[in-house]
Amino acid sequence: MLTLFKTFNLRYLAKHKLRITTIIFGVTLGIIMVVATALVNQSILRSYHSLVDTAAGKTGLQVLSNTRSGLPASIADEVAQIKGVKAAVPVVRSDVFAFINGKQAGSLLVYGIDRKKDTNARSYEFSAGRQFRAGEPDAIVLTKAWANEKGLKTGDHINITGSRGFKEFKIVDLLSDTGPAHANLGSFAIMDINTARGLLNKAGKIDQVDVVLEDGEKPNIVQDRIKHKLDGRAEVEIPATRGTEVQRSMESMSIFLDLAAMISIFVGAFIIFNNLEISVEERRYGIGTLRALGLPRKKIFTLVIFEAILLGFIGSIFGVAIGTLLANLMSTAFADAILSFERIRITDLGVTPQIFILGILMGPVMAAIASMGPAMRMLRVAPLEALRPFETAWRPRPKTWKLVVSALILVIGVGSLLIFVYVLENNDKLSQNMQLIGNFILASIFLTFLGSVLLMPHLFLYPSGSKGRAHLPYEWP
Amino acid sequence: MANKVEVKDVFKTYKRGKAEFHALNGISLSIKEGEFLAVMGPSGSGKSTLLHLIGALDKPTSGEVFIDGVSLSLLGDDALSQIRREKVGFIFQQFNLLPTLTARENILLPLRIAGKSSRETERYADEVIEAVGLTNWSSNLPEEMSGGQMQRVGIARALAIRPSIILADEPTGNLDSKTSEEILNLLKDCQEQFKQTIIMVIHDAKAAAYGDRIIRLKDGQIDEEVEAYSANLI
Ligand SMILES: Nc1ncnc2c1ncn2[C@@H]1O[C@H](COP(=O)(O)OP(=O)(O)OP(=O)(O)O)[C@@H](O)[C@H]1O
Ligand SMILES: [Mg+2]
Repeated sequence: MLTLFKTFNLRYLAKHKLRITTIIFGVTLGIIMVVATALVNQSILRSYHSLVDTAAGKTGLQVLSNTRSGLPASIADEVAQIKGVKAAVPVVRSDVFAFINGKQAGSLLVYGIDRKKDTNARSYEFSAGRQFRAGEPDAIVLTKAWANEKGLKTGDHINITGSRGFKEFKIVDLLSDTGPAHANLGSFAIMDINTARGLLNKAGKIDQVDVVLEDGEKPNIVQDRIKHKLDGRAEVEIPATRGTEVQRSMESMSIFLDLAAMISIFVGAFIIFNNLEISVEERRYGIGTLRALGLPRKKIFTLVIFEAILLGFIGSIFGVAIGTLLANLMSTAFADAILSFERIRITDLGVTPQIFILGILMGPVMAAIASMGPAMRMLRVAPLEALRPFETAWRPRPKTWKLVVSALILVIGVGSLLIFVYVLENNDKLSQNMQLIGNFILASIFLTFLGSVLLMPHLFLYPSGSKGRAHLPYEWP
Repeated sequence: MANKVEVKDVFKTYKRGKAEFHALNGISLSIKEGEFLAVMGPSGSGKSTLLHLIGALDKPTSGEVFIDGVSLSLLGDDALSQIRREKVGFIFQQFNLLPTLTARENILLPLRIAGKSSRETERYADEVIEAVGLTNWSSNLPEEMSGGQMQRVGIARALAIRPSIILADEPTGNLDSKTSEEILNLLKDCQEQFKQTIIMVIHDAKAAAYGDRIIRLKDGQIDEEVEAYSANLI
């Protein structure tokens, strides 16, 4: 069977490099987008988690400094007096760099917190249960995930950049993987508020007040009261507004990627279907000969399917590799464009085992399905068909009007999408109407897809059809 | 001696538009093991059709074909395929070579299909290649060969697996008279040396005389049947 595969299938494939390249390309095309989408979606999901479970916790409003120097610490007590405020939690916060054994170990978002008041806003879960004492000068608590990643454990030391150079800290405890531990994708640390002030040279200052509202209070009403009271000394924001904005753009990005993946699967599948069909039909004569020489039906079937699976597998390998690359490019661009928030960061995208297996299996499965039809048809090739190649030879007859119509649909689809994107960028009113945008994009993507699908057979069937005769060894009288 | 092949009251009907056309019109025939039968007849008389039915390449519309006493009509695809690859060597009128394989690969193909590719079987195949005069052409593709050479590849392919039945459809149609004679002698050797049963369709009466018996088809029926020595006398 293997020698037969080598002589019959591989020899054909070697002679039809363009055909097999096209099939492999079809598989690769589908898988690139699936892998890339899965990877980017995964990281979007992770960012989303970090958004939902961030350090904001139960915070309903945030009082933020409108200057770099921070707010006076007394402002927290002032806010706490306002009607509708259950608790006003002071926070000193900063992005710092961490060094382990003199080596850069990445950035950390550090919260300096007042342990007693902070429980109103956030619930921490300390894995060793030790936490830190109020005012403990060199104590830091990291997230378990970050510590594991850097190979650190409780009791180890870590250097942090502060306003006066390095300062050494002792890791006194770790945060279990819940709630605030997801903040900044785990690159998050807490310490006593006074320790943080010392580190960052912010004596008597805070960076924000996290406001927890009384039950049933409406955020925007309390927001107005605080604004009124502070009278321009600080900004008052609803943390969720930032969140929903980012969330919405992440959702639409995710939907767009899903659509793109779907389309490329369709187009990829179509290329595979078409070309496998041709590559098998082209060998009808040879298959008839093999039947006449005594090869049973089921072995013909095996030869056809096995060949498709092999091509699908090769396509899969390319697809996973290029898809991973593309995902990294996309998420970088994507992070720059809409997620340029300090709190949300797209992490490096590595292929998880699930996505790898999905990508590697998809090609062979897709190709096997695509080859099922032609393989079934080859089962019915009678031995005598080899003797009458021209009666049964399968030659597609492309019709010009079909070519024109499908090209036209494709042009309308692509064109309308481009025009729409242009109009959108220059028209604020239109860009507010999400539903209209959604429907229009869907319609033009559908037209693009329809056009490409209809056009495909003309692009691929025609050249082979005209060549159909060339490789028969003799002319039929 | 036992009948190697038996054809019983066989009809083969093709539809041509609405009309029916009888390519074979009630043929009965027995061929003994080791016999050399020559089949003659005008173009369109059903010679190839008869050979296809005996070679299990096609099914009769009615009637039965027996090989070694087994009716082909009772067999499924696996068993018919087995007969095609193990019992029958078919020399096609139109050669039917695989264009992507070299001459030798085409000739070894039946051995590979049957899973009988070994040093011993391939040595016999190489002997056949030599006997048909293709030793210097064995690594050429069909498209690089003349009609006569392709025909000889087809002959070698049918003989390489040393089948008990050789069905030859005009095996010398594209050959010059000297090569024709060599091929006919080769077939005669097969009969004498390995007791292979041979059914050969042939136009030329002199070539037909290589057979032990000659039948003449006309309009899908046996028109005339003679022993070869008497044909020689004619
Ligand atoms: N698949 C088919 N469909 C319709 N008619 C067919 C088919 N195969 C053969 N025929 C017809 O059956 C008749 C017998 O054909 P066959 O090939 O057996 O003739 P033949 O005796 O071998 O002729 P030749 O000497 O030209 O090879 C011919 O008239 C042919 O046209
Ligand atoms: Mg004929």
